[in-house]
Amino acid sequence: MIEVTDIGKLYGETAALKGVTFSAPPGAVTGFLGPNGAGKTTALRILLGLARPDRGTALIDGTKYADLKSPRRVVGAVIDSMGFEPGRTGRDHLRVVARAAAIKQTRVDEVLDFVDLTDAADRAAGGYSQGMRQRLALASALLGDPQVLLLDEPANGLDPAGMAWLRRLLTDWAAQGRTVLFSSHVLTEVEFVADRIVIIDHGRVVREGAAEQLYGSERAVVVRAEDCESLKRLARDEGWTFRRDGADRLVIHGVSSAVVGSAVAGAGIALTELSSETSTRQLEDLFLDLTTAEDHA
Amino acid sequence: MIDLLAAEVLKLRTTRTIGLLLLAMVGITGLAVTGAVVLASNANLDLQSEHGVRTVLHVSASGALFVLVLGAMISAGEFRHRTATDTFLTTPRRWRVVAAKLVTAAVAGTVFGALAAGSALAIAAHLYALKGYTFPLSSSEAWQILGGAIVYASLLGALGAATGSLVRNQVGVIVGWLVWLLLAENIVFGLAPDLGRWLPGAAGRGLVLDPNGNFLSQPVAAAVLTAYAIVIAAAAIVIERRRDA
Repeated sequence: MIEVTDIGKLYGETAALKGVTFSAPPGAVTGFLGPNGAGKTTALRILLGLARPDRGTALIDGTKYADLKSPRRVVGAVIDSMGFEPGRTGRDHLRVVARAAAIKQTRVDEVLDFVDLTDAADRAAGGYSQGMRQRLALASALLGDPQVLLLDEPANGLDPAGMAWLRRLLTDWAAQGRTVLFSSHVLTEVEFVADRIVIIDHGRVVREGAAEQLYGSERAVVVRAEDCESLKRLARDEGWTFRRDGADRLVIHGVSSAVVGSAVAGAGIALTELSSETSTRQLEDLFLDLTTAEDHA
Repeated sequence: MIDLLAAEVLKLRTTRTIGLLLLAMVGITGLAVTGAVVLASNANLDLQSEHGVRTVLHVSASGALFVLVLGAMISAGEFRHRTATDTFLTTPRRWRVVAAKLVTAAVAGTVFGALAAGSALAIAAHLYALKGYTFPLSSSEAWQILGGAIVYASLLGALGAATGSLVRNQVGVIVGWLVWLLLAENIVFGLAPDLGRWLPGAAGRGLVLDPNGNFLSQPVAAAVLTAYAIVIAAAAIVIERRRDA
């Protein structure tokens, strides 16, 4: 169980986090979604005790990371800032971690095998591809067979097969009743695997909930008209939440297509399209609307 | 703490550069001893006298700079290669990491120092024989100097690790120490020897009974260097507690 409560973090004058609150329960994959620079990594670093919050608490199973007795056995983490000593082999990297965390050395071979890195294990990590580095970092996270997985942009550098493998890993992990929190700025990575989604932008959580709930509550209606300006005026007059998409298209949230249709007919605007989007499209719109709102303001 | 130390030693053993550093240290020491013997015998110094032995052997710490590099690699190297994140995830109590690195660097420094001192002795004895002398193995100065060189290497390792933890920048630490030991400290020592002899490099010259100047005695020099390492490591711990990794 991960519980983040009202954490704030300033970097100089800039507020990276402005009171972030969310949770990731066991038995579910929680996707932490937000554009680059939204504060995802900062929040995860605070959870891991790597950065200090100016306020608020970030707890794992009710305890601060730094107070965990054997953190590697509780939390497995992959974050962006992890590197490898280029001359050290992948196997030796894992042996070092296992040694420091008092984890049996036999576990090293197990995780190497699990991430399919056995063949490259005795080569210097400096020569690894990005995907191999990512898998080595994952292996390192899995060494302690942790109850909580905390992954920052884990899909970076993975090929499609690697992605499918990662999705299976996350889902299996959650199915065993463990906690998975992973961040991404790529929507499709999140929606295929997350049971719960936390959307963060400009250092604030803008939406949190079960994935279906987020899709369901945000039915997006797409309208297209040659006279898009009149359409925009209408949407503004009606008080709809909308976003311009391209030259002649509006994406509208919070109202049904029937309501939109009758209002448009009443205003005498000729539509070239009126549709409800597929769920992918909806989440994407929601994501874009929520995360670009500040720019429009 | 035992696990942490074992992990630090394993890190060192699986680093490519460690062999090169050792080779460089032993090589420089050998060259320095050879040079000292040649210069001393050209100056018609009695190589077997106490002064002769000190003149020849006090250079056996010449390679100690490489131990400083090693110490900096042990601590600041983790930030260079961004392995510090992994280290702090395993050991979130950072004072333990700083302390483990200090101890590891001191132990590695002792091993390096012993190997360098051993080769200094072997080369000196060999050159003495070539020049028709017998190396005075019974001279207590010889063993004091070699022992002092080992202690110096050990403490320089600790100093390198401590400053590396404090500064986190491996190249910066190494360059900083080079400038300090080879330049700044000599200037201070030249201007105010009474103050200068308490500085780290001069304390090292006291440890190897350098005959060219009035340096601290061995026990005082060792205590001074130990104090430097501990104070800097303590500063690193205090700052590390507040710092983001």
